[in-house]
Amino acid sequence: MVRHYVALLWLLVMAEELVGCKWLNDVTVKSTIDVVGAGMHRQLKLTAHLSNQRRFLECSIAYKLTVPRGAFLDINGARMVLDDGQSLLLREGSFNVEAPMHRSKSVAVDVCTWRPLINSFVFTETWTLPVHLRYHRSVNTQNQSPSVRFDAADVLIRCERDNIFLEDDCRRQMIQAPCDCSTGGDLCSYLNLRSGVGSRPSVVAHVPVGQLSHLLPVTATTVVVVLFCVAYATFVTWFTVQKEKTE
Amino acid sequence: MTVGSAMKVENVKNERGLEEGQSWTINKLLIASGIIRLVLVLYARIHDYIFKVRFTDIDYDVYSDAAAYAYSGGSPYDRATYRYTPLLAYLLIPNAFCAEFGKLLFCATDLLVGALAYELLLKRKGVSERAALWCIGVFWLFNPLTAVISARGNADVTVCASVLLVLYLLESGNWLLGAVVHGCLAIHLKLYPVIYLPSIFLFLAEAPIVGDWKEFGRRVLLNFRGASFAAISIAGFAVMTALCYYFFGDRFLEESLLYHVSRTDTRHNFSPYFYPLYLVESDRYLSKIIGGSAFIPQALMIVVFALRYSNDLPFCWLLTTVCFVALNKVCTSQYFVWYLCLLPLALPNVSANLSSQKAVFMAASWFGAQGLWLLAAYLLEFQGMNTFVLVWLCSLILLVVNFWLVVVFVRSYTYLPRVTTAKKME
Repeated sequence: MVRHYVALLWLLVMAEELVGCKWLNDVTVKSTIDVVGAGMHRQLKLTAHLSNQRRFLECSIAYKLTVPRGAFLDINGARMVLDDGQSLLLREGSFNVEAPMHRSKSVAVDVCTWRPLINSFVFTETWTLPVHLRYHRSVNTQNQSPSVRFDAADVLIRCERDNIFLEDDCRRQMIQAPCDCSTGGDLCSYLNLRSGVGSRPSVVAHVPVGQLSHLLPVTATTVVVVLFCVAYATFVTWFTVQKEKTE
Repeated sequence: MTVGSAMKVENVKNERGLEEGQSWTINKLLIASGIIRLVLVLYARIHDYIFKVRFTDIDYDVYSDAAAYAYSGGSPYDRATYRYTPLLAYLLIPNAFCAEFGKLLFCATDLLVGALAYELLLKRKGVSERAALWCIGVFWLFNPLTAVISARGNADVTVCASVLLVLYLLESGNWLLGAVVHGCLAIHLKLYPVIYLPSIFLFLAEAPIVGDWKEFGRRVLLNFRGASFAAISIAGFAVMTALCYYFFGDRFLEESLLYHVSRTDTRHNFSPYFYPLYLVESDRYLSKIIGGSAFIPQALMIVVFALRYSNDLPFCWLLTTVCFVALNKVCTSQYFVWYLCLLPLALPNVSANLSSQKAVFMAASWFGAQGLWLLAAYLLEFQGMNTFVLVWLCSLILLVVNFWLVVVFVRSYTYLPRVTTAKKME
């Protein structure tokens, strides 16, 4: 019986946590993601659309994107394609750009933007990142087609001059993220906005892979061709009479 | 009309030309090719600014980042995927002030390779100045492939320069210094020049190439110079390794040495083994068997060419390197420069017996096989089509073409004694 009361109490606390921040009631957010292009090198196109019935008062936006283990970002390349007002920071570790999918792990990156949200009702931002798919393990049949799933980025917001935003109910839900994506920079408190109706939370990219059924014929043919080439070159080298320039 | 006769005709023109003071000289060639490279380096800036696919080699960014770490007091190995000697990073520290410094340095090294190759060619009996200029100009200095590679910021030309320096020192009779350069520089920069040790050993033994096996055995067993060369070279490499280990620790060993020895890159590349190695990636036992067995054909070709052509090191090293690269577990286009720098040196040996048509056909086959592979790889990498089998088949075609070229070279080969040897004999 006591257990039930504890559970009920916990649910009430959680419900308070979720709906307690009044500031969120007026805000809708739509975060979408798309993978553009074909092959192993694609473009991730991310869009965030925010609207607020009461205006955003001097707010800053950041994004948290989790790059799945089947893909990696070329950090230098990604930084080059971002707009002047954006920067990118790896949360932890780094991308092993050479590892195949099964030897890598997902990596979270933060993207900060310096586009101001001053007294505006709506905010829309689109950004693209070059993403590279990793090699995947070969499969048994042709029908199997491995894929990599990319989830839309979390949209983080902080409005340091908005009193409602700064109420305790909102503060309790805040998470820490880099203030400006500078390495070793300070952390700020953000609200993680949940995606609203109509958002496309994830997208899938298919990866071409080899087939295990090819192993025997491919290996055998490779061995035969290599042996033939080596034997032929050795034979010709050994039995060709060397000419010498006499003049 | 053979390539050789074309060169002879050029020789006559040259003699006349030289008298009239109108002909090209090595200095003019170096200046002209230097200007071309300078233009390419400048073009790279514009290209990189405008186009999405950059002209600058991705490795150049790696070197530059590593140099920046070194400049700021850190280790070059703090940069992920930096797998080169730390010396390169320190050499490129000026990149922090002038981003093009490294490219200019590599282009200058390109010219050094051209100058060294020219000097080496002139040591061949029967190779005129004009013929030497023709070989160096067409196949190295004005070769778009080599010019672009260095202008993009690829450092492989540094190892080419060290290999040619070893060759120059050996052919000048300065084998002691040659051994030091071979171990401390060439093998330290890249491991692959170790494949030249058997041929150098036999070259210094001055053992007969054919026939008298008894004399051959005696000379090999009493080959003090060859054994000393090998010992000094290996010791030099060991000293450099120890020094770098002292300063950079395990990261140096892991990134610069062990990675290259144990590397099994299963992503598509020119190697005929890429697809089998990719398919067995999850099976460590099979992977080790295939990976380990791949060294056997390479070792065999190294020994065969050393036994047969050790009296003519440039030709021997060309064939050895072509086969080594073609049979390597990992093969990318930057490896081709390892033998392209030796091509001008071996050309006079084969030019007399090769028709111009055949030479053009050979070049077209080599480029054609690469083109086919690149097409298949493009479909896989950029279009997402499952062309693994096609890429692998094209790798096999490239392997066959490479070996066919080697066989044609062997059949067209004429031994050209070195001038110093000839003088000695006189």
